[in-house]
Amino acid sequence: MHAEESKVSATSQQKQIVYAKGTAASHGIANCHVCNQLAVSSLSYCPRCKGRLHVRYANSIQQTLAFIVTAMLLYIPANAYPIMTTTLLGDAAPSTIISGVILFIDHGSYFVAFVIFTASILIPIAKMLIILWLCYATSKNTRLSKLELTRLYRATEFIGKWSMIDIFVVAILVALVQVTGLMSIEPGLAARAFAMVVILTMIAAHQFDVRLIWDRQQQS
Amino acid sequence: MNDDQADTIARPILETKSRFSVIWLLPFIAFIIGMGMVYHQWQNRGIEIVLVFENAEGLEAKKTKVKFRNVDIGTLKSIRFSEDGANVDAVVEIDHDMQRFLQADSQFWVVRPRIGSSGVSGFGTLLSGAYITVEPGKSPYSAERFVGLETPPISSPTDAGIKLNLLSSGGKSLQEGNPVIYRGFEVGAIETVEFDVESRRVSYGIFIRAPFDSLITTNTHFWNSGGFSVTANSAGLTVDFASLESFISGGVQFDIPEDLELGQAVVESRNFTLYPNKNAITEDRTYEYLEYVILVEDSVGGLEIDAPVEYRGIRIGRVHRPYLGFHQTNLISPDENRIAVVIHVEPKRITQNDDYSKEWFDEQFRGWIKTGLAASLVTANYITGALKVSLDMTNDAVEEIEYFGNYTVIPSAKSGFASILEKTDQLLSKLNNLPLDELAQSTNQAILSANTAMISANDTVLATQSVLESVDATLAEARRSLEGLQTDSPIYQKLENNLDELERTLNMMQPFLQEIRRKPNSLIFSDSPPPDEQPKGKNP
Repeated sequence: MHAEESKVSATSQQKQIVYAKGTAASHGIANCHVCNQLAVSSLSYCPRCKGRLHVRYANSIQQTLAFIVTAMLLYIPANAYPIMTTTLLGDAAPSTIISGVILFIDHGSYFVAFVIFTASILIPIAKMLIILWLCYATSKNTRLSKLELTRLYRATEFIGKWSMIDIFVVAILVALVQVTGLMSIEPGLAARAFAMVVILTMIAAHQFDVRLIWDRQQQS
Repeated sequence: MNDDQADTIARPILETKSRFSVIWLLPFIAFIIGMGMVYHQWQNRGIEIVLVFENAEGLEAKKTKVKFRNVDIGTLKSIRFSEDGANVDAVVEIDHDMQRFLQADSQFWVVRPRIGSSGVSGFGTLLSGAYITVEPGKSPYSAERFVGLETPPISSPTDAGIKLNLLSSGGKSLQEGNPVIYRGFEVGAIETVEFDVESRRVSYGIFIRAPFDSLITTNTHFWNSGGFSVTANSAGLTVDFASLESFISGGVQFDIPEDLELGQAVVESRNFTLYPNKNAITEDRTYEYLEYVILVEDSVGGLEIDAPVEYRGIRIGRVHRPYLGFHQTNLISPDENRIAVVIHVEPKRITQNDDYSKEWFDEQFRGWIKTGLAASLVTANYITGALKVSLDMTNDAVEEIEYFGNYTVIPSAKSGFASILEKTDQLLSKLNNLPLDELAQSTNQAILSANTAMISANDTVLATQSVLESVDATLAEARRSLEGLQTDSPIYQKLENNLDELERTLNMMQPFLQEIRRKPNSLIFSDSPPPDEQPKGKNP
C-alpha cells in the first residue's frame, strides 16, 4: 500500500504534464468519476467514496482505439454472415443486414428499410469513425472547436445504444416465430458479432476521456 | 551500512510504465479469431461445377439445393446463359467433402413435381421448391461440367443390370419410362428413344435390372406389348394385355420362343429387334433360307412380300419377291408369259435339329421336285384377296429340274384361281342338271299325303279319348273292390291267418329243402349217418 502510493507520486512527478488553463486539472483538482466529488488531484483515492482518482484516464486513447479496432474487425462478419435464417416449410432463407434492407426496399417498406439501415449500418459506422476522429483530434488541431467536439462526443455516446435495436428485433423474432415445422427464425452468427460491435463501441466511447479534448485544444 | 540500508528502504522503485495497454490483446484476439474463421471458410470452400440445363424452371440462385438422397450436398450459386445462349448454365457449389459425387458419369437432374403413367413423383417439391439431385457415377475421373438431365434417369450408372438396344421399324411408338415386362413381371424400363433417320428405325435403349439381366440371351426376342390382342381359337376368344400400364402407354415384353434353346449370355449394348407383336416373332424371325423360284402363269396380284409359303398348311417359308424386276427378266413379253416369284424356304421353321442342314434340305427338295412337288398360288384371305404359296405333291413327276437364272424352279401346279374357276363351272353345270321340276312335283305329293296322315291322326286322337273314358270307369270299379280289402274286413283277416300258416309250413320245410338242395338224391337214397367223431389224443 505504502509502496504503491509512492510509486504513483513518483510517476506523476516524472511526467510533469502541464494542463491547459481553465481546466480543473490545471488547478490541481480532479473530479471523482464515481461520486463526482472534487478532490485534490495529488490524492490517489476519493476522500468520500474511496474510488480511484484520475486526473485523466490512464491510456484512454489507447484503450479506446483498441476497442474500436476490435469493433471494426467484428463489423466484417456482422455484415458478411446472415443475421438470421428464416425457415419457411423447410426452405431456409438466410438474410444478412444488407439483404434485409434491400428486401424491405423491394417490398416498398421504405421506412422500415430506413430504420434498419440507420440503426445497423449508418450509426455503427458513424460512431466508430467519429470516435477514431476524436482520438485523432485530441492530439492535433482541428477546425472544430472544443465545444463542438464535446457535443459530437455526447451525441455519439447517446445514439450508440440505439444500434441495439437490430439485436432486439432479431431476439424478439426468434422468440416469437417458432412454429415448429412450418416456420422458424434462427439467429445467425452476424447477430452475435453485431451485438459485440455495439457493446464494444459503447465501451470505447465510455473509455474515451472527454477531458482530453480540452487539454490539447488549449495547448496550441 | 545503516545509511545504505535506509537508502534502499526509502528509495522508491522506479518503473517505466509500458507504453502499450494490455487492452490491445482484445483486438489481437479478435483478429486471430477472424483469421481463423477466414481460414476455415477457405478450407471448406465448395467445389464449383457447372450444370447445363435446357431451362432453369424452378431453380433459384442461392436457394436451390443440391441433394443426394435428400441430404444437402451443395447449393446453386448462380444461373446464367451458356455461351451460345441455347442452354442455361447453373453454377453449383458442392460442399468440399462431397467430391465423390462429381464423377464424370454422374447424372444431375432437377426434381420437380411430375405426373406420368407410372405415378406422381416429386410431390414434396410443390411446397419446398425444386431441387437438384445427383446420381453418382462410377467413373474414376471427376468432372466440373455436367449436362443435366431433363427427366430423372431410369437407371443410374451404379445400378446393376444390362443396357440393350431394341430396333423397331414398327408403327407403335413407345416412350421413355415404359416398362419392360417378363411374364407379367416388371424387370426394367425404356431409357432412351431415338429415331435414326438414316435407317428409318426407332432405337430404344432399355435397361434390365439385375438379377433379371441374366434372362437375356442371344435367343431372347422382344416384342411390343402395347395395347391388347384378341385371339380367337378353338378354346374361345382371349383378350390379352400385359399390364394396365403397358395397356395405356405401351411396353416391351420379352421371352425366348419355345422352339429355341436358351442361348448364350449377351454383352452390354447388344442390338435386338423389337417385333410389333408376339406372333410376329415366329412369323418374321429371320431364318436361314433356301431360295427357289416359282414361275406363275396367272396374276400375282395379292401376293405380297413375306406372304406365307406353306406345305399343306404348314408354314415353311415366305415370299421374298412377288416378281423379279424387269432388268432381271423380261417381264412383259409374248415369249415369257410366266412371272418369276422368288420364295424363301426356311427349314428351321419346321425343325430345330441342326442335323438337318440347309444343304441337306436343298438336296431333299431337288428329290421332291423330281417326284412331283409343285407350287400354286392360293387365296390366303378371302376378304382381302391376299395370296399365299402352297406346295403339295402331285403326280406330275419331272425328269429334269428347271433353272431360272441361278434359281431352282419349283414347278407350278394348276393355280388356285384356275382350279376354282374349273370347280365353279362344274358346280354350275351340276346345278343345271338337277331335276328341279320332278323335285317340285314329288314335294307336292308329299305334302298331300302328309295332309291325309294328319286327318287319320285326328281320328286316332278321338278313339284314344273313348279308351280313356273306359279306363276311368275301370279304375272306379277297382277302387270299390279294394275297399273290401281293408284291415278290419273279414277277408283281410282270413288272408292274414292263411299267410301265417303258410309261413310256418315253409319254416318247417326249410331243413328238408336244404337237404334236397345239398343232396338231391336224398329223396330216393337215404343218407347214411356220418361216423361219430372220435376225440383225438395219444392212445394209452
